[in-house]
Amino acid sequence: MNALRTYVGIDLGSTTTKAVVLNDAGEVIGRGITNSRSNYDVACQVVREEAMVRTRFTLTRQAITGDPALAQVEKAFLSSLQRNFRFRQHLDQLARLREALFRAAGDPRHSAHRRELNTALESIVNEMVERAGLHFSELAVRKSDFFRDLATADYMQLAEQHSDPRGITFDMLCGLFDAAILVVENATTQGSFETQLRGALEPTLASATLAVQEKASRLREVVETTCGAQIVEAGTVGTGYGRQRLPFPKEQIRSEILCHGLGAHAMFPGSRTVLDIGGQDTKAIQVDADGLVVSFQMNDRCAAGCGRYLGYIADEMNLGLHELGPLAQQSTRRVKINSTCTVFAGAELRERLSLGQRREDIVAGLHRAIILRAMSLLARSGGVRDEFTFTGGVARNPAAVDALRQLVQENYGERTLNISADSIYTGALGAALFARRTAQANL
Amino acid sequence: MFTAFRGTAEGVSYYRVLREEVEARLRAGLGPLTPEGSQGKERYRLVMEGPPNWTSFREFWKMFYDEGAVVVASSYTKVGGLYDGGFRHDPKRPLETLAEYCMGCYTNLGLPTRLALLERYIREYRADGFMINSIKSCNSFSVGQLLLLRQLEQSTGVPGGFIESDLVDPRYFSAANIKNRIESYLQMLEQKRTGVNA
Repeated sequence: MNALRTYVGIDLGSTTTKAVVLNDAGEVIGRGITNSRSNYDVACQVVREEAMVRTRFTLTRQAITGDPALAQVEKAFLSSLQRNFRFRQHLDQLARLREALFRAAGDPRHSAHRRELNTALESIVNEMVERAGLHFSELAVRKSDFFRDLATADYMQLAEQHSDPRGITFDMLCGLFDAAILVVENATTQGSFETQLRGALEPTLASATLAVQEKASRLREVVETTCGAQIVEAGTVGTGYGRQRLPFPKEQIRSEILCHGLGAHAMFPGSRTVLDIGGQDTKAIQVDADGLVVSFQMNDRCAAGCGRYLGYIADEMNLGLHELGPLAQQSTRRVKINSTCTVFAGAELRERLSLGQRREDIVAGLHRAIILRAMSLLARSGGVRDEFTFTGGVARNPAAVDALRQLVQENYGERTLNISADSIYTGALGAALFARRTAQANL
Repeated sequence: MFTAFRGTAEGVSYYRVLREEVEARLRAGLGPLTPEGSQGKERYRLVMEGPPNWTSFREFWKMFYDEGAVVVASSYTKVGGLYDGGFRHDPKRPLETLAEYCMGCYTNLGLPTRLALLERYIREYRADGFMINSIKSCNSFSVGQLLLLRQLEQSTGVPGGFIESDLVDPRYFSAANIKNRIESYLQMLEQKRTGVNA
């Protein structure tokens, strides 16, 4: 098998880091996402490995679909293989977490109750391992794919059960977890892909249907080939908020404005205006028919009206971020909120609540307030042209989308509004496309 | 020099020396002299609109220097009058020319006159682009800047950049945000030059 040439784009955001892998034809063959964890070097390495793992899964799928003898087994086998693979990765990380927890518990300040502490930790981690299977079962709906999120939810729940206000307290257990999870997250070697994939293969085959088991030897061959496939990174471009920290030379770094413009153009070739509302900034970008940026505006140093604003409001109301949009959609009489300043909006929220106004009406007003701010950036950048593409984390919030649709209609008339389910990868996709263009131009 | 020594013998000799130096560099084909020595490769020629950020001036300046962006003309240097447009104080008409001087200061010009002036600079100095530094504490500059941005883009076909900081308030200078915008803008200019394969 010839070496596979790939082009990688990495988008270091303030909240999450994303990677996209393209092949020579410019098709997306791998993607990865991880939390930026205030350590861009690690995030960059983790997300790259993750994207390469997915690339190898794509190769496996292509090998299976390309093989007439395996045509029928593709979907069931692959999804089960991926689940088993993720499960093994998760167990690996739990083993690391266990090690880190006991190391943290070994600190002299815990010497008075070392034995009770170790017993509690042992029970918690054992139960976490038992629960791990549930997260990766066929019917499981995971709220998050990040190890940190899954482990935190399980650990906190179990720590509450195993703590005792007169002995090993909940706070003590939380402190150990905070120290240990950082160690796990900052470790970059996730175990070799080959070992984990081979390890995942046997349980997958053992639990497979007879039709799949009949093809076991051929499937083993395919997996071996994929494991051994040579992948060459022919070009890499980094972008995003933390791009100055990427371990690449300057020529391999592109502004996120250019990457978002090109990425949006690749997803929706008709895009002329792009709005991106991320965690820390809002960007309004105008692109031409080739996806090249002709003008842009972004928020100044204040993150008012960005994703973080919604996060803060959700915290203030004791809601999950994903619950905010649907709550706002129940509003029947929207309240006018005057401030997009996160701190003032928090005060205004409490004032409105004390006046007896309904939560859904207030939240609807807050959504409109952030979209109004985005509308002003759009106007500054040259308005909303057809087609209009909305990207970034806030594009997942239905109430924000409703408010945007309405305000665009009122101010600019009918526009096609594009929102992709993969919009979070827009910047990384643009970066990968730049990597491919540069590498192919230099051939 | 410009503010305190105007009309004095010291001012005259200072500007004479300065002019000779600039002309000598021009003949030798050298670019501007900077705190880091001669500016190396000139990659972008920019016309700057609005005051600089004085509170973090070196950091701000370095963002342009590092990218090879050279400011070829600016509006801030015309706050003290339009001498390059031919204005001179006339000792025989002191009050009249003082009034003319005041009316010619950039911040006392109306929007259409400002626009015409910047258009002329962009053409005369063959600028690749122009950048507006929008300042919170100077309304004489910042009023109408967004309109100016659009109209200049339309009339010259040259793309404009927009950054925000302050003249005197250090809290309003966000290095990461400004650097991001300057770099994005310059990369946009580069892309415009080289097309799809940038």
